[in-house]
Amino acid sequence: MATGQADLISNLPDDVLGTIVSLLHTRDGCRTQALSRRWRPIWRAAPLNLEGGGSRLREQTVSGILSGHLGPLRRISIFMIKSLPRRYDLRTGHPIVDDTGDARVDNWLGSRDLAHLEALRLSYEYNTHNSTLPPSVFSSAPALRVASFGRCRLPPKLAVDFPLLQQLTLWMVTLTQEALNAVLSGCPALEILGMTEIRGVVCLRIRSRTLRSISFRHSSYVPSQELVIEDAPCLERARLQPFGTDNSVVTFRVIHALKLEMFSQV
Amino acid sequence: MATREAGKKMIMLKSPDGMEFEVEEAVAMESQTIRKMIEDDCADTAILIPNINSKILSRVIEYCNKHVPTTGATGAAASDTVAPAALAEDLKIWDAEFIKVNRATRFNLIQAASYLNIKGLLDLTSQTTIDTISDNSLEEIRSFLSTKNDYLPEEEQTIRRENQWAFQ
Repeated sequence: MATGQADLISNLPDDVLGTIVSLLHTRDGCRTQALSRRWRPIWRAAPLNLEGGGSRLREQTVSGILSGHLGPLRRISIFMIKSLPRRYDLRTGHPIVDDTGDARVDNWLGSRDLAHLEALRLSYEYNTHNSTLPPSVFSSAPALRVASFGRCRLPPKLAVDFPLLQQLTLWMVTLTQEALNAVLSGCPALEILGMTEIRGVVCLRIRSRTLRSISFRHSSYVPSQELVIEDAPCLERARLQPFGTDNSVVTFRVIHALKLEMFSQV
Repeated sequence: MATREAGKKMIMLKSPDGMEFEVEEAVAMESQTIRKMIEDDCADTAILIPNINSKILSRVIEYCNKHVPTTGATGAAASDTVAPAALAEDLKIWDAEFIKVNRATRFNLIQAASYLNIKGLLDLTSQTTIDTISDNSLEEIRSFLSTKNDYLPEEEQTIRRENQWAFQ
């Protein structure tokens, strides 16, 4: 026996080391590969906890990690995704709206198995006509509990399959009522919905059998906006937040929400 | 040998050093590994727990005894009298005391928690290691874990180069 303390942790089985590594931040997890030969294969095979974007991780690095990782994706947060250059129709001068979705994001998540994904957060640097999330983001994620999308557009023909999603945040998102309906019907366990500065719809209609709490802050881009609770039998809390000091008007209408007791305008 | 005492089903756990521990089935089933054995009907006689000595096994049982849900038929009285928040706070304090052990014991507990598949115990016992790996230099981590760097210098350079973003 050598002098000093024994290397007890390296004797642990791979899956225990993997569990430990998957609880670390992305950078700390990756660095464990350089500790010793024993640690070399652990991070790549462990569940991935990825926090990237902006100054944290460059997009190229995010692509590299996602394409080289062998283990399941567990938590993915990519913030400040660089907005693509705006494109304009030369005849009309109008911006060209991208309905197919951002190929970079599709590249990150489209071909991946999302069976073990528990949390997904995606947001762009700016909301432009090109910041459309690809439909693959919303394909089957049977373990997803928390999702947040920001400064983006939802694709027009949307099919959502998040059977266990409990908490959803949409902030500065451009969408259509059809897309919102697809989100609500594709999240049959949704309990908490946060919507901030939603664009593209003047009157937002909510139907959800499971929703318990909703918060809403209107968009300063829209002079007047309406939030209608058409049918939410489990809704208990609604929180409306006014935006700044402008003269916009927000209307809140409740058609069917049996349990709604607290209605606060903070 | 499963016996019955005051209506509670008991399970015998044996450590490799020959000690026997009689525990309530509900307590033993905090371990997903043992739960599976019981559900698959492989637990009629005593269950031998390989690689976990009596000292560690007794600590694991102590943990499971404390963490077994007190609702239901076995311990309804306990949860009736204490508020859930107070119970959770009590458990946190208890956990903090429980984990005040030496390094060797802690790693043995990690291994036992992993083999027996007890998630709460694994999270509790891994936390110190996670705190150590977070935000320390490789040299500091190796020193704390007593992990010998067995890479050739050029091999380590390659890993650093391939993952440059993590080492800047």
